[in-house]
Amino acid sequence: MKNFFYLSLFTIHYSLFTVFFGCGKIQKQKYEGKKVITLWETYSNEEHQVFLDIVSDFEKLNTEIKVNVQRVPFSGMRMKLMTSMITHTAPDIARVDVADPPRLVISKSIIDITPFGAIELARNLVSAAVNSNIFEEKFFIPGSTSSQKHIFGIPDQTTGVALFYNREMFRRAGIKNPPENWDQFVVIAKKLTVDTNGDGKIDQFGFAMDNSLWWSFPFYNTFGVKFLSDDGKNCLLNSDEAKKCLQFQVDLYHKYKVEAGAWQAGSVSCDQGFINKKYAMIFSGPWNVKKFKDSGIDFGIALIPKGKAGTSTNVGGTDMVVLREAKHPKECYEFLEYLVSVDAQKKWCNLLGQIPVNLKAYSYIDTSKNPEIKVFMEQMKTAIARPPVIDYDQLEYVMNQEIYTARTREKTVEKALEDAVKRINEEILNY
Amino acid sequence: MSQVQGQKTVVFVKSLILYLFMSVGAVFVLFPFFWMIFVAVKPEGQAFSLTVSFAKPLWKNFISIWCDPSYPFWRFFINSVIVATSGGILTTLFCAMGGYVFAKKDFYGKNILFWFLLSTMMIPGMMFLVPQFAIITKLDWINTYRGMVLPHVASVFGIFLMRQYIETVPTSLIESAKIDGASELQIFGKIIIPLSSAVMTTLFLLTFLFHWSNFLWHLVVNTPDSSKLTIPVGLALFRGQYQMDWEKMMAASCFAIIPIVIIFLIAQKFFIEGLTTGAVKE
Repeated sequence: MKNFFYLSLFTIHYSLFTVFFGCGKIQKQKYEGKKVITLWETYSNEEHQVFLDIVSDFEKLNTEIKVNVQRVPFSGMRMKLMTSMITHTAPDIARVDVADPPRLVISKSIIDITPFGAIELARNLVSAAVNSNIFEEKFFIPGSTSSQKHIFGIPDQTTGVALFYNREMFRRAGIKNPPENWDQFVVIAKKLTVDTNGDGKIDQFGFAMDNSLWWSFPFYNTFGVKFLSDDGKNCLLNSDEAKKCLQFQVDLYHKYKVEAGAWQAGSVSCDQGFINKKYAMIFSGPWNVKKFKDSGIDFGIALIPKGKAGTSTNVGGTDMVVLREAKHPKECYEFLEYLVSVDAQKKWCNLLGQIPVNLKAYSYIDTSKNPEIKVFMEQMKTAIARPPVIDYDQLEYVMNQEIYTARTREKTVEKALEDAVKRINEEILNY
Repeated sequence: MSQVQGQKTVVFVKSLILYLFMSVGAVFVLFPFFWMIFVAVKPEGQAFSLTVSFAKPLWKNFISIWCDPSYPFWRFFINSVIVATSGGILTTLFCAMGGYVFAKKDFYGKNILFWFLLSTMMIPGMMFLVPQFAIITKLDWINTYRGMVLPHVASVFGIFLMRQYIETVPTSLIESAKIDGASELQIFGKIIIPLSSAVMTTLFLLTFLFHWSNFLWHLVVNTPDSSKLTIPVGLALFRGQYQMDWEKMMAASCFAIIPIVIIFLIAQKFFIEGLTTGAVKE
């Protein structure tokens, strides 16, 4: 009993001691005479190393500036940024998801970098990537009707999807080239949808598609669907183009029977079905190239088939924004300018096999090492930015539900889109 | 065949079937652990490859986890141990005190206060995040163990668990101790704590697990350059927007589960006893 008593005393004292005294503060490094910029980024390990290298190059060229790079887990960045802004502990620059700028602009959390010359800089960047950072005055100034454009961030990384196809399946079906338009796509997909073992069940599908809005943008963009009115107050998804587009997605599954139903809950995902050689064509991005290569599939990448509006795709990636309380906004902008410079982009993209955000860097990319990136670079030229809504997550939520009900035929395409328009207008645009 | 031999055969067959089922169950339970180790010994970028290939040397990913200067895994590990053990011990202590008062003391509004406390369990934990963070910032407890541990020391669930158990301790025992001249502290330290060791161990384990896997709070109360970051935050660094360093993440996870496995092995008897305590009223 005595031992137990002493043990309890020890453990309690240990806990109290470590909690109260084991709390040495971080020794802030001193950079005499330098302007220190704190930057929060969310890169992967591999990207982080290259980023540090680019930062080091910048510091050599700008000896009066020190960029203090700090890593934040990607999955926690939004929450971390929100809480840090409440308590005024936010960094000078943060890397945010491409969907975040509208909310940050409205809440005045990030600064307008137009006065530093960002409009000029943006002319050389992939338009779809930079467009997610450009806002008209009427968007962020209450009561304004001005269409004057302002830039609030610079894309540091851009990406989008293209059409991945299994070359081996194409050869077996006697198909030489990937489809160039949606009509060819349906014909080819029908040839690729087969019962390979003769048991009466289809076990190889021509195509597989995801359910979410982001993955459906290639359809909407190629069909020329406009999401919002020019003033951003009304959703236009009840247009004829939108109806034709969603009907086409529904038909791929129900009418042409070439789509595997990968958008349904519990089904084999597009990536996994492509690896398992169940799906002949899918939409995917550069991030999966290595994974597919490692799994030993013989695959090719082509542009998204053309629709009425030509070929196009969605836009993913991230932006660098300068936060409201940045102590040296001009120096922050100088760093962002360097980050998208040809030199930095050349290094970043050649080492990591990514799509440059600076169009001038395209010619410096060594595509011999990453031949696939060539298609993505071409595809990004016609990519279209997401609709500029404050709550993109909510837009995804509403659209995913309505797309699903149309694809399952719980609702007609017309009804699903009418409902989507109503909900988007009420819940997102005019809440 | 004699009757005894027949009975032995029946027992043997029953055991065989039982062990067979248990083996199948064990395979299902252990498969994720096997897969974690399997991925951890694979070469870089091969996590999704079904071909069996191993990193050279085999322990490359494990070694790199501990030796990478840009990824202070040892610090994450030590911080997690400190936070989880301190949090576990302090929460258990304070909940035992609270539970004792609610179980054995009479004061005005005791029941109302207890039900009020219980009703706070219905509020989602996320609701507390910003106010708690604001308080921690005001106290200047950012990047400290205090900031990570103390806001969670008062656990309503813990008080409830302790109160339910301590209610089963005979009041006559406490009264006898009082007659013998024991102070309140002595009664608590020498009667209540030893008699409640099973349920306290359970509470310690649950709290330890909570702190060990708490990602959001540890992320929020530390700046990214903090030296107090813990394993969940460290593991999340392996994930980029589109890429995940699966092999290293699995190698780090192999180490991350070791303390939990050890604690469960040591305390499993108490844990099961603690969970079933109070299940039957006699």
